[in-house]
Amino acid sequence: MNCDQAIEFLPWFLNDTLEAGEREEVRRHLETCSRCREALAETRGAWRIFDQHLPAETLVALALGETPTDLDPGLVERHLASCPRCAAELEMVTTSRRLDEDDKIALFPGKPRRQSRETGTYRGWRATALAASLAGLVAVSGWVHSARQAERFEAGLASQAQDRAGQTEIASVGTHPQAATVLSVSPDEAVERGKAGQIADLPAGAPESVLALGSLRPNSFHDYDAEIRGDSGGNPLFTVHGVQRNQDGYYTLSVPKGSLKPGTYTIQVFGVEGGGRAALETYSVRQP
Amino acid sequence: MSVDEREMVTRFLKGETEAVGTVDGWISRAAWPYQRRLAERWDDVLQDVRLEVTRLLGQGKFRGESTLRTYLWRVVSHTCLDQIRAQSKWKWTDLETLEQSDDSAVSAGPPKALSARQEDKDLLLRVLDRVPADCRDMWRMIAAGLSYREMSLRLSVAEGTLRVRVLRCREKAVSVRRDLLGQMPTQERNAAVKSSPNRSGDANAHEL
Repeated sequence: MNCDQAIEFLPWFLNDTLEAGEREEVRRHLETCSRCREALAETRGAWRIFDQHLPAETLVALALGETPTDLDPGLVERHLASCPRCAAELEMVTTSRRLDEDDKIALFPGKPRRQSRETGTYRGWRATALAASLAGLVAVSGWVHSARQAERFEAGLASQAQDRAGQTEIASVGTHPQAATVLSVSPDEAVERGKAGQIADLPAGAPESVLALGSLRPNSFHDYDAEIRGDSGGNPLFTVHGVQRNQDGYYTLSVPKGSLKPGTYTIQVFGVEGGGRAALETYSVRQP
Repeated sequence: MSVDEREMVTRFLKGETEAVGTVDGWISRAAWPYQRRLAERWDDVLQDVRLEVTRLLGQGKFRGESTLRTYLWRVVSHTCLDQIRAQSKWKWTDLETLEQSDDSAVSAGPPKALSARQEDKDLLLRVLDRVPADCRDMWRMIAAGLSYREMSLRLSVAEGTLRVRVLRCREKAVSVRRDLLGQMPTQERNAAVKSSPNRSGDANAHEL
């Protein structure tokens, strides 16, 4: 490996994603080349620049409605517009502030994110991920404004979880979903160019629809989120964190009965890594 | 500080059940949005927050410039954000042997870890603001732990081309930083490498 090749590999040497052979070659080269070690130091310097985020005190000030005094407001605004991680953190701080100010917003226990990639055992559909996340989302969206409403909502989710137990057994027996309520949906990207997109109809009358969203991409993210929007676009109606992806390349989402009004919806899946996320597939579904 | 709040702090520090319950309720509520991101560490983080609150109130840091509840909200927000950020911070401990074998790189300035801590945040944010958006996106993917092959697939760019683009972005960022440092008067330039504020609980909220 020569200097030019080694220097090109340095960012991935730092994030530890080179293959073992490549990594060893870069390391051996660095041990004998002071010029490339300087390049390594410069790469780390660049990493620090690109990994800059707004200070926590700035986000806290913004959530309090104050103008940050330590940074140029224009710079703050531009950074927030271009940095998904800071935008997401500001959203969390703002939500926290809102909860702190309004005791009428009910809270539900959340579900922690998965911390590692799937380990290989196919455990069947785990649709409760949506239920827990949905509950959290409803709370922060301010849709549930009283403890009584919250209790009813939780009771509904609990009964759905009980109903789901049988389906989980059926689905986990084979490789592919067997239960009648499971709907396989292809990503919009799979539709041939020039043809109208296929819209999958959710089963009418089912207590709950489990969507198996097929993906053609490799499983390269630690975690996945999904946003559900109405056909007119706008803000997401639901944001689901910790979406499951199984070994067959399906993301699974559960849609409790009554959570969607009749209409057409777009589901956008995001890959989540570190503090940022990347838009992946979109899917179109219709609630009759 | 109102009499009620002073009394609440006193009762909390004495461990009176009702006061502890009230403060704990405020803390849990303020911390709720961070729960998902802190996942398995959640209980530990909540405990850290409680300890920090007890420490700050015990030291009389709360002076009533805001309500007690807002003060506690600040403590919760800073602690949770710091914990979330610490999770995604890269540690390059395995590079120590390489750096130790290179006197020239180290002797050019203070130790890298120290200079990293001392870089002025404002300067680095301004540098970042001046580099092209596609550079920021590519380096964000690197910081998120994507391999060059994954990035090449995602961006539909040949692997070799991608590596060169990333290298150009690195050079661009370093050059912008050099330019900005060059534009600064000596005094400001020195300030740019002074110690940044301690981001622990004491310094984060101006009142803490």
